[in-house]
Amino acid sequence: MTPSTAPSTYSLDTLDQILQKKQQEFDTQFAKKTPTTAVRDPRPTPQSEKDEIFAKLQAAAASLTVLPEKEALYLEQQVSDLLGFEISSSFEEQKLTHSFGKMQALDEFSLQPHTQSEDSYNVHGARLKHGRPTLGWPKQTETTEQNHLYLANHLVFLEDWHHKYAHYKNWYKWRKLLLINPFNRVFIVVELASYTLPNPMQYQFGGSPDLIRTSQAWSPEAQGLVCVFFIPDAARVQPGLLNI
Amino acid sequence: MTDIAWFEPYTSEALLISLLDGFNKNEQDVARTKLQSILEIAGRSILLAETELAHQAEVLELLTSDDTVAITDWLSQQPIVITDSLRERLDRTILQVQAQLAAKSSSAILHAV
Repeated sequence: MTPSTAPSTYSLDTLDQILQKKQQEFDTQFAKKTPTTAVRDPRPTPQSEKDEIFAKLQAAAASLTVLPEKEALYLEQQVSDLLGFEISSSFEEQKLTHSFGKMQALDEFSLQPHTQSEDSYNVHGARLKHGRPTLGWPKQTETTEQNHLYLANHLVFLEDWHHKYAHYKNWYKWRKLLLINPFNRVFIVVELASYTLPNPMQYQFGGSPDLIRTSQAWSPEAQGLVCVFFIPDAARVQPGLLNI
Repeated sequence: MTDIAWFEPYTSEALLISLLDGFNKNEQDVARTKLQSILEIAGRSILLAETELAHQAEVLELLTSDDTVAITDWLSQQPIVITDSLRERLDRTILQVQAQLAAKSSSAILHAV
């Protein structure tokens, strides 16, 4: 029997279509992971523009408001350009309860069951929490004992928290966030350690003693008012103070 | 000597040849290039799906870097279950592509009849 001729051979066009479809599927699935910060350097920002960005952040933090979407996106873009890496008020369709708010000084978060207050450095005037953080003990890969910059946000206020709390706890646990004190121009990469606040009606965020001190959040100018954003490409930043 | 793409050690040459045999001789080189692009995308998807969310951007950057040595080195450090899964799923990708091409081809024959 002779091998089948031209009509039975495969078509290059079809192969091309399959390739395009695969590329589209890949882009859709992994578009959010595109390393945008990898090729970006902080853009030299003129002083006047910096002043304008900080003035906007100050106004938003002071009014505890939710900015209109366009305005928020523009502000996030400006801050991203200033920093040299992407920040966003939402990430993978998740949000914090607030991006702007007042930060309450909380106790030191206990990171291991055996942590004693004497082992935890610099806990001036703040007790060590007896129990584990509400998001659970961290794994060694999630956070380090050396890092004491922890943030709390009352995620229970999220609309669908009661339906999806198991998923949310897992998603938000030790997520890296950028905290800005626009009044003293301090930028800090922090980690989310707790999803509850002792006084959620009065405060939008809570901070560990080290975070309160390092961020100067309770300086006479700031009065506890801060801005908090997600860092989509969190693998590139380490918790700590950023020098801008 | 031509460079070997990072995913090639994980694909079955026998399956590739059996697929390419379905193309006209003068189209086989172009078909091989396109098929390699499909396998590279499939390989990236498989590896990214196995990667923790926090490290996906870093892994994607590596896989799109064209630095075959670095990628091969990174792959050699991965658990054997990952590389086995990569091998199996790349083979499955070739079979799927072949099935799609064959389906189109037979449909074209039917229409011709």
